[in-house]
This record gives sequence, structure tokens and C-alpha cells, in this order.
Amino acid sequence: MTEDHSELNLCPNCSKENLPMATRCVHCGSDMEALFTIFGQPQIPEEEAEESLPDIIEEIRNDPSLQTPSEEPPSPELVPANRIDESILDSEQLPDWLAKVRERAQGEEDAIGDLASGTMAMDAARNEEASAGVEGEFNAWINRIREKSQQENSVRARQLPSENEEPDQVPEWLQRIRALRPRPEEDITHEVKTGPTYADDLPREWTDEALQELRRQALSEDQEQETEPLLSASASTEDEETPVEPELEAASEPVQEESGSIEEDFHNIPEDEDAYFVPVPVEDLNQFTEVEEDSVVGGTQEEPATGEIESPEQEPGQDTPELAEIQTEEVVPEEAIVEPEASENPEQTELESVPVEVEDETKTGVEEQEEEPEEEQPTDSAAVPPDLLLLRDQQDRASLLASLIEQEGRVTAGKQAVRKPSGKAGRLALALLLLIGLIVSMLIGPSPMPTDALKSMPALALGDQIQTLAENDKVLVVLDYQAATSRELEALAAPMLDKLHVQGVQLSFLTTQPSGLFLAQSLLAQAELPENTLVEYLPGSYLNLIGWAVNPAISATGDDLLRAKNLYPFRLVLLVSDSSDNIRGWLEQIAPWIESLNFAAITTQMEAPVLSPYFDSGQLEGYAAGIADGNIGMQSTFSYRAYRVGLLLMLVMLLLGMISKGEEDAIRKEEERAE
Amino acid sequence: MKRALPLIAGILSGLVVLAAMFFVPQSGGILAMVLNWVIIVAGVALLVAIASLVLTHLRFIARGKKGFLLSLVLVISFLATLMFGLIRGVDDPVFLKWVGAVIRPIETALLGLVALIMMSAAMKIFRERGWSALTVSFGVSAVIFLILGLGFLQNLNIPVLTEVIRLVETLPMIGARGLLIGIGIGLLMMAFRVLFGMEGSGND
Amino acid sequence: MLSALTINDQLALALGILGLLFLLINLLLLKKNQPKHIPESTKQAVEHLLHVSSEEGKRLVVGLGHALTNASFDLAGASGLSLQRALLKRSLFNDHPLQSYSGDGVLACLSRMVVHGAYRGALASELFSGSLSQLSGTSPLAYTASLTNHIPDAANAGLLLAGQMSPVVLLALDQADRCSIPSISAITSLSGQAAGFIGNSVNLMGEDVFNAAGRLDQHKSSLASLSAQDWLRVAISIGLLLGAILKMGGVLP
Repeated sequence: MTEDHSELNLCPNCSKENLPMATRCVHCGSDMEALFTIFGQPQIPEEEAEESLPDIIEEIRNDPSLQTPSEEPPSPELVPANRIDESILDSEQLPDWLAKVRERAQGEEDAIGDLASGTMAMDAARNEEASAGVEGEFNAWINRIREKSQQENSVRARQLPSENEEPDQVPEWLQRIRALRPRPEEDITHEVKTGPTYADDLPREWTDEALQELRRQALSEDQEQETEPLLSASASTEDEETPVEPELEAASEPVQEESGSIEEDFHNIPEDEDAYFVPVPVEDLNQFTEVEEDSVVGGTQEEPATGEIESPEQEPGQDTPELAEIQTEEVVPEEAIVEPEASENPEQTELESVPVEVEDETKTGVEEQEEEPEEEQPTDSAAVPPDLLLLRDQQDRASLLASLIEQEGRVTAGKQAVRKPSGKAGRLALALLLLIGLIVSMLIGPSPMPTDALKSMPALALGDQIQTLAENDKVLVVLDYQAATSRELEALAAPMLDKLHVQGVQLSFLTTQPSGLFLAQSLLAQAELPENTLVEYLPGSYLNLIGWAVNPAISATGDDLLRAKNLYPFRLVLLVSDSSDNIRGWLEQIAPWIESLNFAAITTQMEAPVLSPYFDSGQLEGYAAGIADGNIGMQSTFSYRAYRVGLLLMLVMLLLGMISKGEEDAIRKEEERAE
Repeated sequence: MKRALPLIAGILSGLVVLAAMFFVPQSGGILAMVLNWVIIVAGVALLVAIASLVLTHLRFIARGKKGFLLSLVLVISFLATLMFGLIRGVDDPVFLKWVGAVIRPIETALLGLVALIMMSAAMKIFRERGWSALTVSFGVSAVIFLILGLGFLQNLNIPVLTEVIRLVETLPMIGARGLLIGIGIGLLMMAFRVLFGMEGSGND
Repeated sequence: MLSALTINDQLALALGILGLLFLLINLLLLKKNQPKHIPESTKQAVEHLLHVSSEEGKRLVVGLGHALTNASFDLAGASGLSLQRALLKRSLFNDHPLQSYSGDGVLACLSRMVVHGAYRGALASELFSGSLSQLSGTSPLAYTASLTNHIPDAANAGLLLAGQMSPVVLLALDQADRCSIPSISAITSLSGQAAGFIGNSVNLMGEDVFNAAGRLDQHKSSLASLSAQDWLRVAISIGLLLGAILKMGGVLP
């Protein structure tokens, strides 16, 4: 970026900038040919230049002294006394070979002749002009640096009315162009000179509007100088407080209503800008976004918890990942939780050398990295017109966008890898395999459960419990299942209910699900129970029964509406449920109140393992689960063969999954070894 | 105060119920009354939620939101069931038969899909989760219990083998008990947080 | 009634009192409660949740379960509410705020209260929408079917299942897997946890289900309860060991 700015030529007369190809100043009309001369080379007519140019270039190339400017002053005795100043000037500007040539020509007056003497005089005059132009350009350059430095020192200066003209009379439009054209060396200068000012990086984060607003507020309140509010605001933001908070706190109620949005704006803008300055590694981007959003949300909360989370300083001696982890812990207060992605992937953090610093350091890692993208800026932009050059913000935004695009599709920490969904063909093949296997096994013929098959302990206990029931014993059957599991549960429950009915046991039915009303019809039909058997719906499930259980006065009177509410007369409660949680609820909520009550359950095979601790502890007399326990009665609806085929297929799939994973690992290891 | 009042009421209710549990013969009436209130409130809440659901879908239909046809199906089904139940009564066999005829095949088909998904997941689980103590133990136990479920080993009627099978079948109980203890601990702490008003409604 | 307590009841009561004591101690501790032993699964889950809710700006779908008052009154059914609250606070101003689905009437109302409370707490009540918390089916299958239907949406970034759920929830997890939507299951029922494990999701088990919310919340109460939970776990382990030793020694019947 240096070259593009220096390519603009300054008029030696008015010191205003002109395009490189301009031969006359567009401002004052003066000739700018001198600027096109090769330093130390006298201006010659075009024809002569054409003839001698190759020679000159060749000579320049061959002369090593041209590569580095000579520091040696010419010997004073060879220089005429009346032209010593010019000689010094020439010797400073001209190469040695030219000085020697001139020196010899001056010594050999005959060889020069009158014509040559006149030409030399004219050359000397032109050289003087040229050196004056160079000096002017140098001075202008220095002035520009100074001016730029001042501009950078007071960022808002370009927004304010131009109350102080620059000493070199640079017009405002030129200042604008210069402001629009960041130069690395100027940035470096700015960094050095204004480092303390920008320690918190805030001035660059402020938008013009926000700064104007701040300035207005400060002027109206304190009548101070224009730059003071900015500096104070910058300083106040070091502790991550919004500079508008004092005003907001002092504001009235309606203003406080708006504080959320104001704080939100404040949080969004600086952090957005802050993020734009980062050379945007992936993690940092994520982190910034998180910080931004979390701070927005956090800023809106009412009760920020203080002093809950340990600060990183309290745990020294951490290496980078650990420190990142601490940061993770540290920046997750209840109002703003941030999980730095770096903590999740320490390897990546190390690879990318992302500096992890504590928050109270004067210069953050973001600022340190700020120079990197500037160094990577294209240096050859001489052909770009000034009005097409970008603001630094715009460049940073562009680099952010580029990095975001680059980031797309990558797996960020904390996020699961985007999985390739399994193909439909594979799923279809599996479904067909399962369906064909089951259908064929069922078509072969009926296959009831063998009566001599080994039963589970809970099923045996349940069978024993049923055997102990005598005639006229009361059993409460609670139907608590869905239509989906009705086939499995009905196949288990229906034979048992039939058996109980045959034994003369009085059965009362209760359902806790609305769907239990129509599901009970099917069950009663399968159990060959009378169609007019009453099935009561109990809203609130067992909670409804606790009130009766804990209040003997009510229980003693009975209840006409819901006869089953009084649990005391029942000897056994048979829970037909597809939810182990519901069964647990009965065992934990109802059982403690009525000690005389025994509980048994019929459930699905999926839920059976959860009930085993309750059976082991004696809270459950027994339970039957799934088809494996289905041989407690007569089962005609199940095909044991189909059940076995299903299990076999599941086993095969599981083993195939293991084998394929093992093979995949072996191939990968082989590839790694080959690499 | 506006926020504190419900909070205080909730805390007091919880503490009263908890205390009443320990003085049951005397506090039985209060406990029964409070529990009845809970059931009523739960029922009303369900009504409110259903009304909200229907209104939301009516709004979707009115706006022509993407997928509003499904909303239309929902609203029509809801209204039809409601009217049918109101006219014929919820105990009407015809009503119950129709409702069952619709719900049962749908839910059974969904459960069948779960079986299929389980098969698919059994094949994918090792590729997705890799080898770890959890997946290996899962795989080994799944294979063992699937083999046991086939019933071939039980049919051999070898006493020693039968005892081993009995022992193996108790193993899930150990895991389940551990998990239940863990859930119980977490639930206990959550209950305390609720009881003492530490679980706010989101604005704290 | 107090005199009629069995040994199990007395043990349960003692554990409850111990838990309360631990909670109070941790609440009153001057040092900050920062649990050191958060399980890796919880960490991953929380980081994932943060990523989804904060960074992508997409919608996080939360299934709160279907059992709080439906068939059983179990407080575990409300465990998803704290997670919902913690996540919602980070997605209030997203393009697509967190969307929750409940399968229980009371749960739906409580969930809506949480949503409204979160917006009110952020002084943005006008952004509250009732559709952010919906009832979707009042039976396990109806609920799961409805939830499954809501998953394939381009604006969805993640699926969180928290609360009481049946193994049928595998349908929703599989749908999320097919749509490449990362899922987390913090299901309190054991069979649901098994489904979550096989369903290719970040699966939380045991008391970790309750840890995730505490980890996200970072409330002092949540952190204190996590610490108390750890203490109680140690106490129970010691008690179990002692009981086994006493049983083997013949002291206990």
C-alpha cells in the first residue's frame, strides 16, 4: 500500500498531487517534466535520449555504485570554489560516474567548448530545479506522514469540520483521499505512536455515528475539548463496560426500557468491528460470535451473578489448552456463557498458534494479530484509482467474509461432524430383509411358545402369585398402555386375565389413559371376559388414589362414581403398562401408603430391565415381560418362530456392524502405515 | 411482588404437602384436597394447551403456511372426534371402535418402524460411536442377550448352564439400579431447587 | 405415620436430609462452586448446545417429553424446562429462537411460561410468541410422530430431547440423523436413555441428565446442586460399601 500512494507525483510548484502520468500539474499548470528525469541524469532532447538511452541503462546496470548511493563527497580541490554548494548538492544526488565525467569536462576546458559550457550551465540550472522538486516531494511526504499521524491520533478529526488546515495547505479532498488510502508504513507509525491510545482497540471499533453522538453528549455535559470524550470513553471501555451506561443508569424509567437495545447496539457494533480486525481463524470467529450473542443476551438479564466463577488469574501455571479451558470456565457466567472453541481442540489451537491471553492484558491477541492481514495486503496497487481503494474496515470485512467462506463446511469444535445420512437403499434392503424373514417364518405355520421353555424369575414369581389367589379375591387391573404396544401386552395379559377369571377372582379394571377405554375392549374380548365389564377412567393416575389412600375416612365410605378408588380391599394390583416410569410411580407413590397391597406388572420387553431392581427389592411381586415370558398361559397370537427370526436378524446386523467397523479400522490403519 | 407471590405460593404448597406426608392421619384431608387441586389444574392446563394447539394450527391455515394441509387434517380430526365424543359419549362402543380403528394401526406401524430403526442402528452404532468401553460393553451384552433370547441355550437343560443364565440375567439389574440411583440423586436436587424457588420461569 | 416408617423409608428420609444439607452447605460456601468433574459427555453436549444456539443462529428444537402429569406425576418430566430456559436465553434474539414441543398439557403451559419469562427478563416481551412452545400430541406415539414431523426443516440446527420419553423417541432421533441434524438426548427414563444411546446422539445418562442444565445455567443454585450431587454420590457409595460389609459380617439381616 506504500507504493500506490507514493506513485502520486507532487507538483514541485504547488506541492499538490497529480497522477503519475501527468506531465503538467492539474492545479497550477506548471511543468512536471522534472519529475520524470532520472536522478542525476540531465534532461536531454527526445532524439538524443532515444539514442543514448540504451547506453545509459547499460551503464547504470553495470555500475555497482549505482546500486547503493555513494556517500563519499567529491574532493574539495576538484570543485570550483564558486560552485562548491552545487557540487555538494550534485555529489549527493548524482552518481559517481557522472560526477567524474563532469569533473573531467570541467578540467578539460577545451574539450568542453563554449557550446558545451552553455549546455552545462543549463544542465546545472535544471539539476537545481530537479533537486528542488525532489526536496519538495520529500517534504510533502514527510508532511503527509505527520498529517496522517495526526489524523490517526484523532480518529474523529475527519468527521469534524476542518477547523485546522494542515500546514502544507493540503486541501480537504486530498485529506479524504489520504484517509481513504491506508499505508502500511503509516499504520506502523500509527501503531507505535498511538499504541497506548488504542490499547483497548476501541477507537477503531467506533462507528462515525456513535462517535458523533458521544462527542455531542460529552460537549453538552462537560464543555470539554472535543477529543476528551473519546479518550475517556475509550478508557472506560477497558473493563468491558458500555460507555453509554452512565447515561442510561441516570436515565428515567422509559429510557431504562430502551437500555437493553442500546446496550445491545453497543455490544454488537464494537464486537463486530473487533471481529473484523482478526485474521479470523475458525475458532476465533466462532468465539467472537458467541461472545457477541452471549453478551447481548447477558446484558439483558437482571441479576448478574458476581463472584461465582473463578478468574483465570487464580489458577496459574496452566499451559495453553488448560488456560483456554479456564477461559471457558471463566467466561461462562450465568449471564454470558462463552465456550471458546479453542478449549475444545487444543491441538488445533497449538497448530494455529492462536494466542490465548487473559482478558486484562493491555493488548489483546486480537490486536496483536491485527497487523497480519495488513502485511498481507497487495503492495502493487499503483494502477488502482484512488476512489476504488477500500477502507480498512471494508478490507477487513472482506477478509472476514473470505474466512467465513473458507470456514464453511468445516467441523467446528463443539459441533458434531455432519454425518452422511445412511442411504435409502441400505435401509430399504434392511426393511425388506426383516419383513421377508418375518413373513416367511409366519407363513410356515403356527409356532406357539413351548410350554417347557425356561421362564424368567420374575415371570415365575408372577405365576406363583396368581396361583395363590383364591376365589373372590379382588384384583385391580390397571390398564396403562398405548395402542402401539397393545398387541404385545394384550398377548401377555389376556391369558392371565382369563386364568384369573377362571379361578373366580373378582377383577376391577381401571385405565389411566384415555386410549385405554377402547384398548380395553380388545383385551376383554381376547380374555373372553364379559362384554359389560366396567372399565373406569382415572384422571390424574395414581395421584388421584393417594388422596383416598391417605384419608381413611373417605376410603371407608367408598365411592360410587369410581369404585376402584378405594384400594384397601384389593389383594393385588396388576399393572399392565408399557412404561416402566409409570410402574415406578405406582410402586413409589402408592405402595408406601397401603402396605397390604401387592403389586405385579405386565410390561414390554424394552421396559423390563428397569423393573428388575424393584422385583429384587420385593416391591414388585413379579412381572412378565415380552414374549419370552409369554408362556404363562395359552398364547395363540404369537409366532415364536417369527420372534426368533427377528432376534436372529438383529444379532446378524449387530455382528455385521462390528465386523464392518473392524474392517474399516484395519483398512485405515493399513493406509496410515502405507503413508 | 408480582413475581414473588406465585413463587411464595408454590414454595408454601410444596412445603405443606411435604410436611403433610409425615403427619398423614391428621393431614390426610388437606393432602387429598391439594392433590385434587393438582389434578384439576393439570386437566385445565391440558385443555389450555389443546386450545392453544388448535389455535396455532388455525393460524397456520389462515396464513397458508407451508404444510398447512397437515394443520387442516389436525383441526378436522380434532373437531370430528370432539363432536363425535360429545354426541355419542366417550363410552359408546361405536365411538371407541372407530377411534381404535384409526389409532391402533398407525401406532403399531410406527412401533414397527422403531424395530426397523433399531436394526439399522445396531449396524451403524459402532461406525458412528467407534470403539469405546461403552460401545464394546453394549455390543457384548447385546449379543449375549440376543443369543439368550433365542432360547437355544435354555432348551439344552444343562443345570450349570441354567444357573449361569440365571446369573447373567441379573446383570441388567445392577446397571439399572446404578442408573436409578443416579437419576434419584439428580431428581432430589432438582426437587430441592423447585421447592425453594431456585428454578425460575426464565426471567431470573 | 412417622413411627410407621420402614427401614427403607428412614433411609430415604436420611438421604433426603443429607442432600438438603449438602445443598445448603454448597450454597453457603464462600468459594465459588465450580464442579471439577463434569462428565465429558455433558461437556460436549453443552458445547454443542452453545454452538447451535449461539453461533449458527438457527433454530434449536427441544423436545420436552410427554410425561409430567399424563400418566404419572414425575418431576423428572420437567427436567427439560431448565435446559430450555438456559438455551433460550442464548437464542432470544436469533433469527429462529428456540422452539419447544411438549407432550403434556402442564408441561406445555410451563414451557410457555419459561419462554415468556425469558423474553420478559430480556425486556423484549413484544418478541414473545406462543408458537415457540407448542403442544404436540398427548400420547407418547402422537408426541413422537409430531416431533419427528418438525425435524426436517432447513432452519433447524439441532435437536435436544430432555424429559421423560419412551423408547419410541428413536423415531425422532433417526429422523434427525437422516437430516444430518445433530441431536442430544437428556432423557430421564432409562429406556429412553437406551434409545438415545442407540440413536446416534450425544447421550446423557444417569444424573448427567440434570447436569447439563446446571452447566448451562451457571446459576449458583445449579452449581451448588451439582456439587451437592457429587457429595451425595460419594455418601451413597460409602453407605453401599458399608452396608455390604455389614451384611457380609452378619450385622445386618
